[in-house]
Amino acid sequence: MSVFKSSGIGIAGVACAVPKNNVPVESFTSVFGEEVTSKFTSGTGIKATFKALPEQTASDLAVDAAQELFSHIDIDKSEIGAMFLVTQSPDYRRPSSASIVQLRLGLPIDCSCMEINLGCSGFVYGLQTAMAMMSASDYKYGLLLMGETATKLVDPLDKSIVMMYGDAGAAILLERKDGVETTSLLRSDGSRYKAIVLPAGGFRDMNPGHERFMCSDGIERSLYDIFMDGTSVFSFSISDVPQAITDYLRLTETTVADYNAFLFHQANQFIIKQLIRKMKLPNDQVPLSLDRYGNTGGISIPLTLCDAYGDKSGEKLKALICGFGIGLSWGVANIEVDTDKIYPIVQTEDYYKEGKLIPGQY
Amino acid sequence: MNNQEKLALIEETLEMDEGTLTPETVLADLDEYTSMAKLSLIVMFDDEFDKKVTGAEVKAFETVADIMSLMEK
Repeated sequence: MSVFKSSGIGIAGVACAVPKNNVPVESFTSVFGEEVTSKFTSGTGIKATFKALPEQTASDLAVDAAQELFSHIDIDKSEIGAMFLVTQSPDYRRPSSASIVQLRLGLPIDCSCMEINLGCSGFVYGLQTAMAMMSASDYKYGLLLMGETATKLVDPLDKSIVMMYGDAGAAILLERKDGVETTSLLRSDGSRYKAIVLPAGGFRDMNPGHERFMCSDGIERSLYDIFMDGTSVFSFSISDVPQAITDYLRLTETTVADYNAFLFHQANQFIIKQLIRKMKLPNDQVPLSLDRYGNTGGISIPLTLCDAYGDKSGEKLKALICGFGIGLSWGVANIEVDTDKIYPIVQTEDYYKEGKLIPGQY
Repeated sequence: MNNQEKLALIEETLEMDEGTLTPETVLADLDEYTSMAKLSLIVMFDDEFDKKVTGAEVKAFETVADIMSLMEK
């Protein structure tokens, strides 16, 4: 099993940012009709999402989340030794957005920066990667950033997902802390890569035509639109995912009673309800944010933390976290965090104007 | 589980009145056979038969009899 352990690294702060632009599911009634939108909400639990401006990118949301974090925690940035940006929505084909984020946050040259291309499992994978890097060095702080703008990749007429995705950014500061033990179980199944896929624009098929064709779910899309095989992803979510959690509990010799919060990727309410039922979890320890934020990919776990605990203080969370989705890729881990270190979600319209490169300017 | 019980369980899963389905019923003809209904079938197989049904298997269902053929422990 792909199991990882880290000792002595704790979470010093969690902040999240979403775009100001709120899109209620009801606003799609004029496109799809009332029956479709109300069935969508009753099935998924999603009532609204936040959608980035055309100019606003995933790195902008990650930067805003980081700035919110630094407004609460005053640290010397020269003591951040590594920064990771988890995103599948980079600013450019190259370089990675980690470079742009480094510049904008004023991180030192002596800070290693890199991007991790993962979606819904990205928080669990990113956290483990950041902790492993930190374990191998002696710098004081590590920074895990996340940003996603999946709303930009959806065909506006795709009723299966256009109301589902929301955009968001997250920033998690890691520090050295005695006594904190983290275990992660990470899995991946490339044989199911077509379950969630956007074929065009990568290097396998750089410039195909934009004509629409009928997909296996009866919805027309072009090769530039994200496709999700909902039935297969659901089957994965209620079989492979609880299996990983069961394996994790056995491996760590823990039970549900050892945790006081369960943070799941906010895919849809039906999936989370099935996980609660199958794992026999206490309902009140499984916070939901998807009703107001939609599916924000890997950010949905820190976003749910900030939504549920951002205004609380004095509680010590011992949470089990589980991210699962595109890849397919999934992971389970434990985190310990004081609610004092979890900050309320901020809304933003900021974007990096100099980031739009104009011919002749470089 | 006999055929009557299987039909009743499918009717319950698809939120249909008892006695409305036969093995020959074509699923595509049913208003109730929505994407959410397909997910409910996956849950039903998991709960009642401890069986993992894949997306491809669900897509291959054409008639009620196709569903019934997988309803074995």
